[in-house]
Amino acid sequence: MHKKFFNFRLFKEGFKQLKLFGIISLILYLLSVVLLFINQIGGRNIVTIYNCNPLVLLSYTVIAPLFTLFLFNFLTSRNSSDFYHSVPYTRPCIFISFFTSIVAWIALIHFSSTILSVVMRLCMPDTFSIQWTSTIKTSFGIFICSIAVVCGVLFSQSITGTIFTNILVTGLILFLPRLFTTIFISMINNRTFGIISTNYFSTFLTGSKNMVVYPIMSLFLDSGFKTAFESYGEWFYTLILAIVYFALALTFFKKRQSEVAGNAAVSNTLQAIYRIAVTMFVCMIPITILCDKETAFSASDLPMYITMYVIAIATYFLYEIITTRTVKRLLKIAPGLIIVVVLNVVAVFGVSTISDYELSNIPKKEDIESVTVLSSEDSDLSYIDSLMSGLQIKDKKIISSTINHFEDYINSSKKVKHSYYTDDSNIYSVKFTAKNGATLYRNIPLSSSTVKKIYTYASEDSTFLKSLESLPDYSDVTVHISCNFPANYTVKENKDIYTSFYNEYKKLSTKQKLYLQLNDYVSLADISDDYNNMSAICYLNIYTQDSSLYIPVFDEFFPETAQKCIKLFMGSKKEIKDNKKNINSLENSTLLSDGDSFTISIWTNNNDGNDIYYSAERYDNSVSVSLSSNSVNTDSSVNANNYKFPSEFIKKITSLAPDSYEELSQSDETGLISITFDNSVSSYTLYMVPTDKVMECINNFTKSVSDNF
Amino acid sequence: MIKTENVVKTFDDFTALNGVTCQIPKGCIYGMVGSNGAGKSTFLRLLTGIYKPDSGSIMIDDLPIWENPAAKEKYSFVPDELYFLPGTNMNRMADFYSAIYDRFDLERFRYLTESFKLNPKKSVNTFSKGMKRQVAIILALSCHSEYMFFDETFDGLDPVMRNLVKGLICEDVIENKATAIITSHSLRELEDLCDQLSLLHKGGLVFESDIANLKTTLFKVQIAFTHEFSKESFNSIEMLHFTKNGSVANIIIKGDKPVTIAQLKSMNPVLLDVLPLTLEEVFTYEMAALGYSFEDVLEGGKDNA
Repeated sequence: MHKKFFNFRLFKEGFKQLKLFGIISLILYLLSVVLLFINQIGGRNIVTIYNCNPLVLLSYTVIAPLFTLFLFNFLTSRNSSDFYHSVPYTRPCIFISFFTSIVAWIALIHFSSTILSVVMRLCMPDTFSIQWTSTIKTSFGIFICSIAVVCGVLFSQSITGTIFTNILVTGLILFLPRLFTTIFISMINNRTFGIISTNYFSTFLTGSKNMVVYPIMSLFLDSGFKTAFESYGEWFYTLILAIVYFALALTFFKKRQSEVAGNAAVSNTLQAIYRIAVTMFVCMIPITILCDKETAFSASDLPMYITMYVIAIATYFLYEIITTRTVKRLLKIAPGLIIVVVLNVVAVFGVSTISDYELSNIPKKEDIESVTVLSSEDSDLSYIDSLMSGLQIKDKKIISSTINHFEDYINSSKKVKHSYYTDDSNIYSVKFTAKNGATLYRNIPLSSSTVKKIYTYASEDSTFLKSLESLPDYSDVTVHISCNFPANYTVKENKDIYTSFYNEYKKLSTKQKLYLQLNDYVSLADISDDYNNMSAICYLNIYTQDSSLYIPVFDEFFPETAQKCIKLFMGSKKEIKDNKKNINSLENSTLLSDGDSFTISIWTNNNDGNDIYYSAERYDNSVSVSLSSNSVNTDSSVNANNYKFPSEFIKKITSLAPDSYEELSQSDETGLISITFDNSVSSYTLYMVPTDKVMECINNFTKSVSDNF
Repeated sequence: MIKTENVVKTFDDFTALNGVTCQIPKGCIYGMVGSNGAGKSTFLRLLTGIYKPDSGSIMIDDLPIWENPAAKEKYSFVPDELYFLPGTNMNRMADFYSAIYDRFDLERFRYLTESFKLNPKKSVNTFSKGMKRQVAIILALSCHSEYMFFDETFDGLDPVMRNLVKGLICEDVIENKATAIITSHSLRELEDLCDQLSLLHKGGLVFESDIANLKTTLFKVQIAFTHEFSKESFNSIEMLHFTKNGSVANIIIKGDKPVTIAQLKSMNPVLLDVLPLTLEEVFTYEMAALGYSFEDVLEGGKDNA
């Protein structure tokens, strides 16, 4: 038995063979973890896997394929393949023992570096707050992903015989099915004017569950690396994928004949499949163009299509030449092009047929039980969207107008593509639920009047209102305190402010909660105009696992939280006084070296956006001054001897600044401005309310600078 | 004992082995000769379970070899194309072998390494072709296997090393009752080593026999008479070859030597010389009797000897 399925000595041998790569990788991982930790000391950090273990993504993108290709490289040359097939172990035993060696190394590198990074940060709880759930889940997610990649590479190695085809077919196995599906969905979507919501396709088709491919493909297709390692659904899908790859790899490895080592593929049939797959990849370009209605086939396009198909045919034969290093079989493989032609025809007609069917699939008003607005497809999912996705709207008028929008959109788009888009409408993902329980997901441009009806309906729905009652717990969210100036806060302060906010939110009236949650839709839902004159002290960006929430901290709604925020930014009474004293002392300071500068950064809180940046630099016995405030932008050089630090402004502004945060919070004004003084050696910040006197002082200063230079 | 029955192996359109049936008894040194492409290496790869036969059966001590660790445990194999771990030295290879083979003897490995005067800490990549082959032989011999397969093993070894290796193989066969199966394209290479010889040609086993028996049952006679004689004069004797130059005839005879000599003496020849045959001559005449031309079957055999 110990030589049939798994052998520990063989496992150890595999582990030993990977020792060099393993130790180098481990050192790099641990080094990067330690260096990043040292770099982060002094700041205040919320720790996730990405900012504590910077190389973590390499586990599945580099380590997993590299280790697998190396350890199973014996399959690519005759002598090594013969050797391993002659040893007194069954093929499954070699396969499983070596597979576990690779997984063991990946686990060792991956988890030891993550554990070290977390343990180091646990020693400094004031500086680092570890997002345990996210860190552990992401770490396991990436590990599962690595196993899937190992299995994918093994599958490829079992059905190919050279390093080149190992790598190429690995790419085909991992990416091509997903790429083809994405392109087909995109073609269907394009021909159906984007009506098909991503929710319509099963998650297997959208690919978002595939942790191996989705983040990498999103990097190229969605212009950003989207992480998907935290969800159990993704784990499960990727694990199933890994098991399928593993089973296929094991089956082919068992059946594999040693003599195929060095051949491009283990059989002529498989070689034909790879060749056709690569050719079809090239064919996707003309197919996509052909399927796009906007560029319908015309005689003038013929040279372009001919060129593309000539390239595809060349690819077909080139693949054979490159992988087999011979031209002998070119004539023999030529009939395979018939399959390529058939597949092209099937693809074009398939897309056309499916698209036509989808366009004709318009629900009948009398059949629909409810509609649900899932999200606006233009942006990431907001918290209110996620709450709205649970709301079944059974109002007949809303159902009717939604279907009308849908019909109008299709009819007008058939005449002129995208003609329906107006300033008055936004695309929403809508779920229709029929009386018989069937569902249909569609992207529909809804007019503002329909959206208004929907939110008004929501504001009267008891289930929806109940979901508004409370916010997620601190452990389930990441909170950023956002103000109009840079602000530092400890993790403890962050938690304290959210807790206070959370408690005050609970006490708010339903109307107030609706106003906060629907602030983007206030004008649509006619919820209230009572609060329109309020100004926020700061904002809380609250991120849940799949949505985000942006709520203003109004003094009227959250008095305790507002006080805490002001106190947080201003500090204690003694600190404020010391701060003012330090700022006053700056007027006598001088610039020590050529690279030094006096900088005054003023962050105001008005809507004009006139933040001011004033900088005076000494360089080659001269001082340059720049001032930016809306359209004012002065830049000139003066003699250093004539240059004076704006001491008058310092004196005046410090005299206007409050001596305690109580004084500040008692002001009628809301919102804060900050003024930072920096002489390249020290930096001090004043927090103030934007009273008329303060604003006058700032305006006079900017004017004087503009006039002087 | 190794038994093969009607073993067929094809590669695409090429039939490498076509119905090979043989029995290799335990405790012998079995030599297999054949020209390049005759199927010797394929046959060894089939015997060692590297290849799966398209049809037929291969058994070692009544155990099927294919995917059977119990059967594979019994042998060690030195192929024509050697395999070493990348960037390895002999010590690491010994470590590797001891992980794979239960019976690997580290003491014997050290002893043999010393005997061959090889540096076990030096990278195998820096070794010459012959030295690499010595490493492979040392590793195989250190496994204490019941069966040892050597494919063109003496290629690249100098005469001193050849004799050393032959000695070690014989030692293992005599002392440990091991069985060695050795292939070569040179008959002379195996002449002084093997108990049994077989000849493989175009995927078929055309000839298989015991060497001692071959040499005693086949002999050459020079004979002359005072009277005229022809081939028909010897009809009662099994002749493989007959030539006559003048009054002297050269006859290759197959049969019991004393009985045949007595029979010839009774014919009162004026000249009767019994001459020994080289193994190559034995093969030539045996093959001719089977309808093969030895030169065709074993092309280059003489050159490489």
